[in-house]
Amino acid sequence: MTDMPINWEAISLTLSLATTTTIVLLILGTPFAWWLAHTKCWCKTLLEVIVALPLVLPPTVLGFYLLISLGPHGWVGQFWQFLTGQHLAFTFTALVIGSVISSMPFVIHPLQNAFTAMGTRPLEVAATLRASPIDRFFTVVIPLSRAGFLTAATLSFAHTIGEFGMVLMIGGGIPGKTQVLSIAIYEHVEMLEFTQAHILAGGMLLFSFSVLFLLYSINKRFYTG
Amino acid sequence: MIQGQFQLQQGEFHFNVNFSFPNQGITVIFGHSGSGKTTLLRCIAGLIRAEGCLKINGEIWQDEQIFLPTHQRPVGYVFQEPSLFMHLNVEKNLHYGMKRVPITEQKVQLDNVVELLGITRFLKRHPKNLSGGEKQRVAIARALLTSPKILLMDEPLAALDIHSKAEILPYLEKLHAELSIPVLYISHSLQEVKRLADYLMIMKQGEITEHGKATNMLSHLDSLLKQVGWHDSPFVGF
Repeated sequence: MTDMPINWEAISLTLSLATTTTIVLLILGTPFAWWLAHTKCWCKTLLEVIVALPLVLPPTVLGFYLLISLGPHGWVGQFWQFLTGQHLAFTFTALVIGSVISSMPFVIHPLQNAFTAMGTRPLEVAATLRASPIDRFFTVVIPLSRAGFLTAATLSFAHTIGEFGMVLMIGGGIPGKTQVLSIAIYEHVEMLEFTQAHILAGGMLLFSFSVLFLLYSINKRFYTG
Repeated sequence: MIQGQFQLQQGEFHFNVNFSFPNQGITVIFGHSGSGKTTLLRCIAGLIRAEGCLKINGEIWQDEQIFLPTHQRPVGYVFQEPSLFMHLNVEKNLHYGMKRVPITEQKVQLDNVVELLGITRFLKRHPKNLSGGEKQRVAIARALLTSPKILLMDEPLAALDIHSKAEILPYLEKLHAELSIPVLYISHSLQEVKRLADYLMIMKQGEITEHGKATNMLSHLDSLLKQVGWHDSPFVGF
């Protein structure tokens, strides 16, 4: 595979993928989670089930359907090709789309729970104190739901870093292009390069532990004030 | 004068009020739970969109064409629970509404209100370190600092223990004496009515059944209370 003891390309690609996925999910997921927390629409349960599906589906099932739809014969893939003239499957963009879908419950659930727990009273108070809807969102909703946002961002980031089956299916593990850390470790092991596998696997273990430890510590501080 | 008329159907509950009360002093709304007192306050604040109209000192806040959203209505609202922002300390809670009001419209000064409600010594504290009575005083000060044209108070003492109620009532009397902002005050307690009310409105089943100057009405309050079906002692909380 490579003579370098540390596969920097895979590390950099994984971090870019996790960062992009988290940013996209926070931007798209916040209004959606807000809507889910407040709507009385009949389709709420249906949408909640769809959001939760990646939690229970084997990643390969998600990867399979994504590959079908992002591929050159799938409707997303064809639309992408019509817009850009390029194939979508086995690209970084495909990985981002897959990761966004796969990590969606890790963002939507904590945000929806935070918005539900906050209730409508703080917003009513802010409205009587002359705050417009946008003003209320930034000065009341976000600060009061900060633990939810932190959990959402951290879990999305950490889950994307740990993704394997789905990224392998829609990315193909092309070095420098779609080969993320989890795939790189798998390939090192297949080629009996245990030193490189140890370095990457140990690094991921340490990283995941540190991120979760930080998240739990900060959240504890938020909840105990 | 403050005049309005609202109609609303919420499930089985039919709310239909037509009111007019002075734009000075304290007007107390008195009535059973579920008689529509809070609904009336929420309609005035624009938190509920009922059909009807509302005119405050000649200014239209709502009619067939106009509906000012809550954040554009110069109201102060004190909820039953203090509802302070838990991510801000007392001082920042006070500033929240005040800084959103243009300086030219700020009639109530921070120093005066802070002194009037006795909250100077805990300005830097976090709301979680305040007693129930202290929190409610901060909530009242926060509402007053938006220089409202009307202050709406929804049973501000109901969630407090007897000690905290006794602590706040004198502050409310001071507000009454020193500020010229009209107050619409919901109460369950005859003690509060007697100590605070200039004008009284009695509600029953979504309607205002009686209204008038408190001095006139209090003289025959017993018969009025029986008329609206209040058979229990109204001395709730005291």
